[in-house]
Amino acid sequence: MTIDSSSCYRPCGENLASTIIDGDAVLVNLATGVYYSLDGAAGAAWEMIEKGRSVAAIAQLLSARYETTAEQALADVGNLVLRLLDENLIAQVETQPPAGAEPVVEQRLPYRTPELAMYTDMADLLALDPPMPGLVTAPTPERK
Amino acid sequence: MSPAPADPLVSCIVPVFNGERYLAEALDSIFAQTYQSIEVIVADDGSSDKSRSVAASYGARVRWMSQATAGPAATRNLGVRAARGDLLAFLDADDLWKPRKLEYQVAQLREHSELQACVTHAQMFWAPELAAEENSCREHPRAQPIPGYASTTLLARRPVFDSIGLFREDLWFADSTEWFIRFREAKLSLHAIPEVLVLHRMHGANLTRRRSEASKAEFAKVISAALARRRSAR
Repeated sequence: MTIDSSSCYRPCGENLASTIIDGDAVLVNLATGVYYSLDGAAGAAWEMIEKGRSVAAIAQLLSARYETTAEQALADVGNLVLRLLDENLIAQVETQPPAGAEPVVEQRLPYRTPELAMYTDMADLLALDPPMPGLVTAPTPERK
Repeated sequence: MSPAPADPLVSCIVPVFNGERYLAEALDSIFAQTYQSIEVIVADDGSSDKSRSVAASYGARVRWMSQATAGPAATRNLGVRAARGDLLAFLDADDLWKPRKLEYQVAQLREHSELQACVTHAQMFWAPELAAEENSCREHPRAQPIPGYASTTLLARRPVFDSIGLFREDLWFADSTEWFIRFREAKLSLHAIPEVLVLHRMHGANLTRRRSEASKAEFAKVISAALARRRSAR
């Protein structure tokens, strides 16, 4: 499978919890307890995916922000998108109109191929307590 | 022959917030335990319903502790601070223990001095008004018996709370998960009984069903912080 550079993707819905801290993203699949990290350029790519940017736009941002070529960034973003699709963490959406330019960086950062790291060591800890995926949202007590 | 040591006292802490509907069932499941050396503390998070009356109907068998509303973790901690037992257990006011829950867990901790805590498997069940949802979720993995890494299945030696701390009161959804992560990071020893000894009720108002973005974000932040600690320790 190849990725069309004009394609846009979005995080996959109700089972996914995510946070970005200091540019690194952590994703948790609440249905399985598996979690993932996306560091550095991968975290930046995830942030752009959340905004609905196209693969081409994400690659453009990475090559502007990191010490890599546009061609390399495009290939790497394509591979990252494939990994995220494999793990059901994103789904393709309708192509979005180009967004405004991202802020220009003064100094490009060292580049490392964006990768999705997967962890299963907390699956048992997350089996019972997180919100149960698949259930309807229920009314909640107002506590504050 | 030396006499057998006395049964250790188990403090059974029941955090409650406007839980009048199910509190009596929870307390009955505690008093139906085959293990009898217990004290029962209902820790109240500023309820405005009749939870206090329900607890009071059990007389001196139940101690009532109350605070201004401060969240689930702060409520559990209120109970921990009031507890007199060597072993601490928690039962959410809408959940149920099976009768041999404490017996089996105490036996584990007595037989294995290296163990610091014991959890059990848990199974969800649905309030009658959610029968349709129960039917639709029957095959869901979460509807099967699952390892209960949650406070409602936990029995822990009291010193554990001195060594790794109490539940984090700034967390409203993931406080139990975060506590178990710290437990694991401290390399403390735990046994998970593979038998369902806790029933976790799904109903229209329970906190764990709050599938809000705030809840999901809290779990993600807790996991992210644990990952960061692991990396910085390398």
